[in-house]
Amino acid sequence: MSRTKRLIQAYRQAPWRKQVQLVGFIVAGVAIVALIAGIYLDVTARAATMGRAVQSLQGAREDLEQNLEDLETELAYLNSVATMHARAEKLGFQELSSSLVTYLPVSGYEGRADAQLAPNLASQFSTGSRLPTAYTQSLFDWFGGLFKSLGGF
Amino acid sequence: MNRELTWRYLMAATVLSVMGLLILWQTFRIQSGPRATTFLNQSEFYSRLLRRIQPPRGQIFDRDGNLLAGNRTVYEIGVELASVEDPRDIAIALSALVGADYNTVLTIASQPASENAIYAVLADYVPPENIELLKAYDVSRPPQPDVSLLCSNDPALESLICTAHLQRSYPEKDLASSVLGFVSREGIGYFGVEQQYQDLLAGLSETVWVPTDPSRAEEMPEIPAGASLVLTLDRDIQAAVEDILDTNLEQTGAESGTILVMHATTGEILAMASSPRLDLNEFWKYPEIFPDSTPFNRAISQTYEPGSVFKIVTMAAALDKNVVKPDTPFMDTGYIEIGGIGIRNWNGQAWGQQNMLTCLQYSLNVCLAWVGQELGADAFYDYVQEFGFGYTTGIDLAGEARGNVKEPGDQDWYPADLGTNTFGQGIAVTPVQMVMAVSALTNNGQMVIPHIVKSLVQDGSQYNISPQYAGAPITAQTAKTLSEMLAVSLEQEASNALVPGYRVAGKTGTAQIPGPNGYLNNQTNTSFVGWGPVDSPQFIVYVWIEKPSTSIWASDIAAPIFSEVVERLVVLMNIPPDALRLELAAAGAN
Repeated sequence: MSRTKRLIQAYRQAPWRKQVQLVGFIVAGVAIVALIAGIYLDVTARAATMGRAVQSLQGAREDLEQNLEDLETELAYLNSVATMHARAEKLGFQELSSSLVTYLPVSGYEGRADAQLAPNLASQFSTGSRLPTAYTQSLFDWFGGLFKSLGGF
Repeated sequence: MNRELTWRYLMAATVLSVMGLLILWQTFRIQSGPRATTFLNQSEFYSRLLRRIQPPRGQIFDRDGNLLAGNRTVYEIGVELASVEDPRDIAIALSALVGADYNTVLTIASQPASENAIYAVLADYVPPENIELLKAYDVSRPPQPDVSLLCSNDPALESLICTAHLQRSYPEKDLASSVLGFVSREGIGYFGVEQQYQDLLAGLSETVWVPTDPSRAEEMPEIPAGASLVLTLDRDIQAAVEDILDTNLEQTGAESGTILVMHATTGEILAMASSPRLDLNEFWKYPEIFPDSTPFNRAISQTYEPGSVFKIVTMAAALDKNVVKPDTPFMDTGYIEIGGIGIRNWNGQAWGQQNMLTCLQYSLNVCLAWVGQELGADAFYDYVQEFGFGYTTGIDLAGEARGNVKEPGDQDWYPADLGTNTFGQGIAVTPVQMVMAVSALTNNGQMVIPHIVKSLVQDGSQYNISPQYAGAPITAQTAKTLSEMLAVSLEQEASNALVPGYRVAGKTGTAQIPGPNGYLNNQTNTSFVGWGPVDSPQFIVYVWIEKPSTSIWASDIAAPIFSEVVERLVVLMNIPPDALRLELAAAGAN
């Protein structure tokens, strides 16, 4: 008896087998869909949570920036010329006149530096190559360098 | 499995399928029905918020990094109209604690809520201190942690909403106010740096749709903050110069004045004082403090007849053109006629035999008019133009005036103008123009353009601004010769402008003031422009005092002020006395 005939005979004898198989497929399908939906839901929920965190951090950053501006301005009020003069006078200091100044040469002192609030744009660009010489020199250059380091001609 | 069970399964499956189909059908019906567009619009409306993002305005610092203009938090107080229980409670609270007008608040808060009236602003620019008072309005209830937007814990004021935003703040109040300018509540800069660099400082405000969906949080646009500026001003020098100006205006009974200090070689403005000044935190007092057409910054906006300080330009031109030399003799008869107009000296006297040095020393109008005549109108006005008169200097401040120079060929120019212009009459200039012209003498003949912004900070980088030059009207030799002549003339005259220990050069200017019927009697503008140290110039100082009452002469009024400024300046700029400086330089060279 061929294999096909045996299967047909088996089905005729117990048709519920096929139904159980069908139900099994459906249940498996539903389980897969549920799994995918669960994963999707989980990922979406996590993304939403992260999104909320990002929104919250954006708000916090705005608050901090505003607070920073407030504090900087507050500090500037406390260090303003009028306030500092009043404090100096209260502490018994007087204004320095040119006749009272003693000048001393200090080697290497260049005087007061101007305000540098951020890296200078020019200093961010190096004129030379940043690559090590091994990446740029030719074989002859390398040999030349080697000879030099060995004290050659 | 029996038939009955199968039937039940089939029934359940059918019912569930039909329900599913019905849901699908309803979804489809809603999406394609007549109200589909409305629903679509609604969903879009709720998915994002239209928000105007105004980046913080850039800060302004002096050359040492001291903050001159910053921002501070203030609050807008608004009301949710639908939540108002009793508008009178709100009006009482705001009038008592915030200083708002009771009736105005009552009217606004009494509006019925509608589709078009959901929220109304009751007060703005309220400082944090007042918000604290408002929050503590009902002390019987403890503060609630999650009501940061609510202004008050008092149930009667729960409809109030406080929104924080930034407002311009000037910690130094009126210091350097004429240079800085101010920012209105609409965020627009007026005068000075605030107006000149409005676009850079304010940044780009944008109205953007902000997604409310948290999964699209990364779509929130990044609006860069406005650029910050580092000025060439030195806060300490500015304060000292303003102090000197104020004191001297009071002592001399003058109407107004200005003092300008510029670095002699770089064109950096170290101080620019002008009267009157405004506390920039109270900018609304501007019309009261600057009535009519009072200039906000006299150093750049006030044009006036410079008087004898202009003789520097005439002599520079004549020396440069080889028309005269320092020892060229001149017999002063006390009178010269040019273009049919008689010109006399400041005291009406004849000064006898003189040379070019003493002509400058005694400030002889007749002599300088003769020099102008020898030079010729074309050459004289060519030099006047090359020195930048009649044009703006290009200083980076808003509101610079051009002055007024009449030239041959102009309808209102007469040959007599050549004579008067040579000693600074009949010509209108600004203090900053005079300083730029004089910079040719301190820079080997090359004029440097005055500037106020030293560097710009944006996107985490600092861009430094290099000095710019405005041509070379005279040679280096002429500059050196004239500088020496003016230094010697001060020394021989024992001028009030001299500073012990430091060799300075300069020139006084006493100018009559033109009125509707000729020049005014006994009223003058006095000025002095000077620089030093002569062998290695570090600073140019220009002093201009309008209508002093204690004396009409610049040698009594402006020259001592110059000296006073320089005495403070050398300390603040760390410039040792000449002898010591030369000694140190010689030691360094060896």
